[in-house]
Amino acid sequence: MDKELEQFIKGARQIHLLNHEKQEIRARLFAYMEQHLPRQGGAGFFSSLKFYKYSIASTLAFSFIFIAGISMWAERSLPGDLAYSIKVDVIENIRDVLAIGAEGDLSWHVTEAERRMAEADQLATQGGY
Amino acid sequence: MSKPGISELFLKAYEDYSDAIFRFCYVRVRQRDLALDITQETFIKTWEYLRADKEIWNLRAFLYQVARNLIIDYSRKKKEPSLDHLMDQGFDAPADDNHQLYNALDVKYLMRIIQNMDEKYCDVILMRYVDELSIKGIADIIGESENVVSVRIHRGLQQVRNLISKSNG
Repeated sequence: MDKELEQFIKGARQIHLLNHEKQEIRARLFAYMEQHLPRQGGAGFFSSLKFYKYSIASTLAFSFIFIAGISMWAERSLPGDLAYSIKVDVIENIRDVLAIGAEGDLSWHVTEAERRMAEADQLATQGGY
Repeated sequence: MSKPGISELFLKAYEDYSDAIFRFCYVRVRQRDLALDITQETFIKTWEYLRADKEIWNLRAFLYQVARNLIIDYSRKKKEPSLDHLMDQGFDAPADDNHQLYNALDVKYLMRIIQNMDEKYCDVILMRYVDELSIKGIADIIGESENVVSVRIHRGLQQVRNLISKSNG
């Protein structure tokens, strides 16, 4: 390093805070920090958790109402109705899967046959066939 | 940056970098009281940022950036006084602080050199040789590439040499 640069750096290094200045600013920063503590990250986290909890609950409730409504609409449907495929392909398949054991299976198949007969009766009453 | 360590980290940053930040401010505003105010404000703003749990990837670079913005704000508010004007008024050298006396002549000399330097060269020279920042660190602070920083350092050194030679000759 050449002499000129050393001279320059030497001069620059003399510019610094004096002890009492450094202490005074430190004291003011301390006071400021005490009055302005780090924000509680937990509050934000929990409030967002609460938000998600409510979101999940409302989504579940809405889904339940929607599915129940569709099921009720499909249950009342007859062959040729828009919802009939939901009744036969979705709801009855689920009931079929849920029928436990040979007895349950048999019972469900009997019910299934009764449902078909009831639909036929209804159609006959309505003059569909 | 983890929350529990924020205060300790911040206070350590104050101990480590306050002199450099003060110097950074002082060579630009050339008024000691104002440089002290900007230094303090720099740390307060940084604390505000930290306590809001915002991410700071390089605290040292961040401090320089805050100081730089505050100086720009100040410059916009008030026209910068010339060094001659300051010299006429009497140089704003610090008061006696026990064993910490400035060599006012050296500082005056330095300020005269700095006054005649391009600010962009002066910035990088001080950061590199006085604050001992890496090229990359300087690049992060001033928002330029490392190549640009290297070129500025090279040109800045030439400028320092020329100015010193002129003032000595």
